Amino acid sequence: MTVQELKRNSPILRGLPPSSASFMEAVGRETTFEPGSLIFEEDGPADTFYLVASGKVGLEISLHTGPPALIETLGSGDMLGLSWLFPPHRWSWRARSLTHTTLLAFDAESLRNRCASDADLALHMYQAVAAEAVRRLHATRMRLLDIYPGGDE
Amino acid sequence: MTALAPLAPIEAMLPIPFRVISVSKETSDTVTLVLEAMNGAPTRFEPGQFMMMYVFGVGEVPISISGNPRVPRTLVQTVRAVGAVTNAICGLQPPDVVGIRGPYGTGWPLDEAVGRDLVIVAGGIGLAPLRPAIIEALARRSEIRNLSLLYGARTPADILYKDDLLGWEASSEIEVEVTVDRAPSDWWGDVGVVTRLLPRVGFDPPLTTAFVCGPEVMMRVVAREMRDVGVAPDRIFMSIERNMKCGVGFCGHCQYGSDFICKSGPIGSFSAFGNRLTVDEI
Repeated sequence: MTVQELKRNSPILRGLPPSSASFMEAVGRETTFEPGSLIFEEDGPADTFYLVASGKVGLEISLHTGPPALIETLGSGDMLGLSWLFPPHRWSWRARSLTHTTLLAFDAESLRNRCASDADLALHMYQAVAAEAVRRLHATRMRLLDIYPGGDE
Repeated sequence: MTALAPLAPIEAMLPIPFRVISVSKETSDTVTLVLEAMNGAPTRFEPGQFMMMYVFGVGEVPISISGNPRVPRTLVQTVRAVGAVTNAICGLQPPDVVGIRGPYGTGWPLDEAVGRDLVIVAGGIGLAPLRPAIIEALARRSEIRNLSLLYGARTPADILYKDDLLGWEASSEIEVEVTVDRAPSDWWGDVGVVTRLLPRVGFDPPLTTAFVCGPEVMMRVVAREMRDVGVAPDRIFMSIERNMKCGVGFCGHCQYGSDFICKSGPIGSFSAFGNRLTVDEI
């Protein structure tokens, strides 16, 4: 989807009070990454909140013994990174663009500062990020079950 | 598709000799067999039905039909080696002969998708019973609104029907999304659970029919997510696998609460089977 479509459809941007929506509109900037580009590094400062407009992003972790492990992929409409909202504001994973990728980026410090004085925006942000965290927790538990190899005669 | 006449009990228990025409390896433990009835009779079936396949001297197992329902000259079955009989099946080569009974059970209700969006969700070997439904849906493409296939596998090496998926992906007839649970670093597809793919495909929940097949835990998570976004539970269909033996509702091996899956299933709706999906050891 385009950045404009993302702004209209993303649950985290939709339904904001007008003043909060204006703030988000003002601080959001479009940024693009070529295939293979590093978006952020594991343990680096979580200084940006991203939404994926188009393309595909891989979350990886270095295994040292070989190529990095691909943990999960994110696509159009997904939030990229949750750590920007919670101390110590450091990324847990590495993010790399797997295709040509367009992101909507928000400066995390500005957003956190605004949330400290804008209760409506803070509630909206925390609810949206918590819902995403719950969804990822459920998905992780499903993958831990390793459901596919099963089967008996 | 017209419902098939039920087999008479004695006929239903009698295996017909089928010859293996070809074998293709899908993954390290899964093969697709193409068979032909030695009496030359066509094998007519509804997408979603299964056959009882008998390896002489080894045993008999239920196997879903994976071929094109419009090509009854051959019977196509995809089998994963998980035990003695399926290991023997995976070792078959032309011109070996097996016994086949069937087809049995209910099919995917494609008529329920006419004039609606059809979302097909498959996990692992669950793509095999759905393949005839996908082929039939494509043959009836003008009757269906948006058509999409979401497929989850354990790893890229476990993906079935790679050529089919590439062909379907390249066509504009069906939206295809594939994800895996684990991937090597050279995989540039999706990684994550199959439900992550639902928001990516176009469907209007009140006007959607869904076919879901895979591990039961996956099917119930998919069915709940679809229900929660507004798809009617009686429009979500799933394939319940149990230990089918006779195939005609006599022996009771496949009892699932008040149903024998070989007759009431394997295909049923979430509204019919949903309350049993969390019953332990049913």
